[in-house]
Amino acid sequence: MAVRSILVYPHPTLLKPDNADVLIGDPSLDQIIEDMNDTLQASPGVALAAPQIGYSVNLIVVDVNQDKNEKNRDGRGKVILLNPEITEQSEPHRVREGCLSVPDFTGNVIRYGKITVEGYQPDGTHIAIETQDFEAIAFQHEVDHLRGTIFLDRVRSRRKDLFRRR
Amino acid sequence: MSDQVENYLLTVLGQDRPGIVASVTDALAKAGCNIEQSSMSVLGTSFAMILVVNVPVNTEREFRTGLVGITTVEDLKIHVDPFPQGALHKTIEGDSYSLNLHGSDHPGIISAVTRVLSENNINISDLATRLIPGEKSIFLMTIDLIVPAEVDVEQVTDSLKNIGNDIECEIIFTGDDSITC
Repeated sequence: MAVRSILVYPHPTLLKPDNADVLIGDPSLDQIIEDMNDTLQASPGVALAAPQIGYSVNLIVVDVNQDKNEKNRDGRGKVILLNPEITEQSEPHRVREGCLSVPDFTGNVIRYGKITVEGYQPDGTHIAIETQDFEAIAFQHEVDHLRGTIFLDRVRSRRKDLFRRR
Repeated sequence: MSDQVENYLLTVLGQDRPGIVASVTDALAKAGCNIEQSSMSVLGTSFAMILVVNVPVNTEREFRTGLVGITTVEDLKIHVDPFPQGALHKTIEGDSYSLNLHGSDHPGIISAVTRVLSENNINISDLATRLIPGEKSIFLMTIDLIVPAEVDVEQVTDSLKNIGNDIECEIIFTGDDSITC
């Protein structure tokens, strides 16, 4: 069990515009995945990107079924995705997001309601996931982290679309 | 710069034009002041700004002189009030909610809605309204709210629905259903 500290904005690791692709079969991968799983499990969030716990690699974990709000648990369970890319997106709309790395705020951002995200499973199998709603939002949020983008970058009006978390 | 600071609340009013924010913040920066929080808005041709500013005790004279200078040169009304230390970070406990309203414009909409909120001890943290002129002018309002834990949200929802019917406006009252990733 290795619950790691979640880095908080403006930590420079969160702002790196590019992170290294994961090499399938890399012996260090198991440790990173274990840390990601343990940290997400212990957090109030539903998804995590490797840079959030200090690993500058393209790896995310998403599990919207662990959301505190039952109506958001519409996902396929835990997905560990290596080197993810969003290849299709449609139905943009405004959603309220929070981030484990920006703990004091939530914000309204534009996300796509339907996406296809492609990447690799830990065993090296290529996968294309078509998803929607909350799970689609979580994937977009995490892929953003791999590009050094946080939701604050997507908030259009700091006054109208940014909210202090109570 | 001294470690000792006093906090002040500045309100700035004037005719809108390019350069007001630059002039005010330049005067503050020259006096070593730090802007802790600010909100600025334009209504029609009028500009309004409120700021909480940390002023080093040893530059208070420059702070006041600078503001007097801008008042004269830029034709602005600037008001300065003491602001208690730490007050900015005191928050009212409760859950974040938002209220969106739209309907045909007529007098009394804001009053009717905010009366319901007030009667339920709900605090308004931000409120903005807009009128879209036309043959039938449309009124829009968005309110950010802090709802204390002891408030009966279902009852407030019902009350707002009833008021909405009375004033012929659509009211959408929603909690913070954000997703945390």
